[in-house]
Amino acid sequence: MLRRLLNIVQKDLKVYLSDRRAVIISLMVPIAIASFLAVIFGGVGGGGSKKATALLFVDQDNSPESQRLFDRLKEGKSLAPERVTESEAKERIASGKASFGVVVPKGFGAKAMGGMMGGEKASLNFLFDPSKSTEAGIYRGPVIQSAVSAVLNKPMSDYPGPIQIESTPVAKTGLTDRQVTMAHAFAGMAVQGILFGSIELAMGLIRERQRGFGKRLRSAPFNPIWFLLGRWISGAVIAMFVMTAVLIFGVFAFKIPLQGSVLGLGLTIVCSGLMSAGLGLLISSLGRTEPQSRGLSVFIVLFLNMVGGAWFPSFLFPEWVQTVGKALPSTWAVNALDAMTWRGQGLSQALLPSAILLGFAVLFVAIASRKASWEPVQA
Amino acid sequence: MLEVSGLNKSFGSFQAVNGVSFSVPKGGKLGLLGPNGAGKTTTISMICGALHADSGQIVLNGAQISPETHALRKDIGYLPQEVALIMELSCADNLRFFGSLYDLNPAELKSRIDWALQIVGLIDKKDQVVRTYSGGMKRRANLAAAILHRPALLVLDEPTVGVDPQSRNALFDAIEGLCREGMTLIYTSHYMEEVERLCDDIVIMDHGKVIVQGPPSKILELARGERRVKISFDPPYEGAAERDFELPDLGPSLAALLNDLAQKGATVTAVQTSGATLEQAFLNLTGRELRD
Ligand SMILES: Nc1ncnc2c1ncn2[C@@H]1O[C@H](COP(=O)(O)OP(=O)(O)O)[C@@H](O)[C@H]1O
Ligand SMILES: [Mg+2]
Repeated sequence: MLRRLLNIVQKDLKVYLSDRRAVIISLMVPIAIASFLAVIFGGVGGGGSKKATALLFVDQDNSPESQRLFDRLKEGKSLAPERVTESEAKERIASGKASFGVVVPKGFGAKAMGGMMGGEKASLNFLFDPSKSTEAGIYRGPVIQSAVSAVLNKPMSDYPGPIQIESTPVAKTGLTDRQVTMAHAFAGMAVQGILFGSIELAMGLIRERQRGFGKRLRSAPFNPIWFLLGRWISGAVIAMFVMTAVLIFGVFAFKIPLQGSVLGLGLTIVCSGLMSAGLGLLISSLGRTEPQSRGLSVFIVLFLNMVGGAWFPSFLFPEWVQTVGKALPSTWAVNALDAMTWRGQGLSQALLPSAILLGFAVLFVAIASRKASWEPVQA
Repeated sequence: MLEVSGLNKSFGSFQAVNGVSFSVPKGGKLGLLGPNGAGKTTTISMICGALHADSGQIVLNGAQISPETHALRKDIGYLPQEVALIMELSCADNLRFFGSLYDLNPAELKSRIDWALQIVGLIDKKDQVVRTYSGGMKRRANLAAAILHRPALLVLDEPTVGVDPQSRNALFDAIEGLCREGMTLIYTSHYMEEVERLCDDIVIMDHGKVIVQGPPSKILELARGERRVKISFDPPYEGAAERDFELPDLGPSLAALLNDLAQKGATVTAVQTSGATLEQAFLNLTGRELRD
């Protein structure tokens, strides 16, 4: 009995060890991910190297207090205030080009002085992108601290002071926080879904190449690159279908607002599909065997999802990771989906992300077609 | 029609094909024979443009073939050793796909599909998903996919391996029919009877090399000297009910043997001869059994 079990276990372990490269990759993936997270979250505590987050500063008061608030915010280093008008601030936050802002209303300075004497408290209005509500909670603190310090004209302290702060989510049309959170989640999951689809595409391609099927295709009277291109298109169509289905489900089940350009949304979906299918082809050209490619693909897709902000809010990451994150195709896809759904942006806002997604797609396919191993694999 | 010369192919440090040369005239039927691992599949993969040769030449109708000479492959029909079909689709859909690779127009494609299905005897099952086919039916569907474009050269890699006897006969009849239509054939196998029955020229390969090429009669000639005769006795002769003899020929030598036995008082009840087979030829040529 035990012997039988041991024999089965031994067989499985032998199979696992038979593909050395796959073993190495299977070890490298968790090690790489753990190290990556350790570096990232280890780095957050150190904090010093973090670049300041942009804060749109709307000064309707023009008082010494508001001027000092601007200066204190600047000294605080975690936020980088930038003077704009209220309408500009709202426009930029609604379109996703900035995430946070603060409005210093007329009479703020005077009221704050009165508040110190026990009168009505002065209030600030904190504007935020509702898809960044977690970060908003974190940045409100420094704003209010700076305000107290500015009004008292004293160094920063934890003294609560005579200031209160209101928070206003800024989105194109009066959406609730909840709707935005859900819409953003659906955009993220739609992109994640097609990235997992890339793994499937890659595995299918590798399996096909290993079987006699690949040989049979190579004996067809034309360049086998056509099969690769065909796979690209079919994979893209499937990804588009998946994305569309996820979004339609979101619209009906969760009332995800589709307020942007429909054409822009379509363009985003098409380009995202082409990108993810291209990624699938690329992955299939990276490993020689299915286990090897699977290991690599898990790593790549996890990276795209993690750093692309689908799992962790990007503010958790150090600056360089955020910079890398902004360049990833997954990030562009999510941002474009956000813009075309709840942000209610026009077609023009879909053009750049779509062009970039298309660029990634072409790059991936080009690498895949150069590296595609049409010869049978040698284990 | 096809001229293969000095073909070499290595996988890493292992040389799978080592200086292979042979030729097939138009309408010829070449049997490529050899034990497992002899290099047959590797050789024909190169002929079909699925594999790069390290060196050597493959010339089809005067043009040199390599994986880059795509258009030349339209004259070749290739049946890989493994079943190469899309398991999720019906046989008819598979054939539509493979036919489309050869630029057949829709009407032509439709009639070719019916023709091919007829030949392999799957016309009744054509809308069934291939995954549900038996092993033999899959191989037949595989053959249909290889002949749709009516290739001038049909290359079959062990088409009857793992096939039930009924399917095997159907496959075999189909191939014989195609041969009668004048297709040039390369038939890889380690089944002697098939090659003997079908081919007018035989190449025997082993360890990546061609051991001999010639018509079946010449191969049989080489195998001669070991014609086995099984003779039965009743009552037993020298304690044996039957005995095997090896004779140089089945004419005078057999007559002399029977004569000799009669004189020694043996009563012969049956004489069973087995003529020289390719199996024996292989044994004679290489000193190895064919299916080791
Ligand atoms: N892709 C490959 N990688 C490594 N070795 C291979 C590969 N293909 C074939 N071989 C080896 O080459 C030899 C010849 O194989 P093959 O041509 O398939 O023989 P046959 O078809 O005559 O049975 C075998 O020893 C086989 O193991
Ligand atoms: Mg073989």
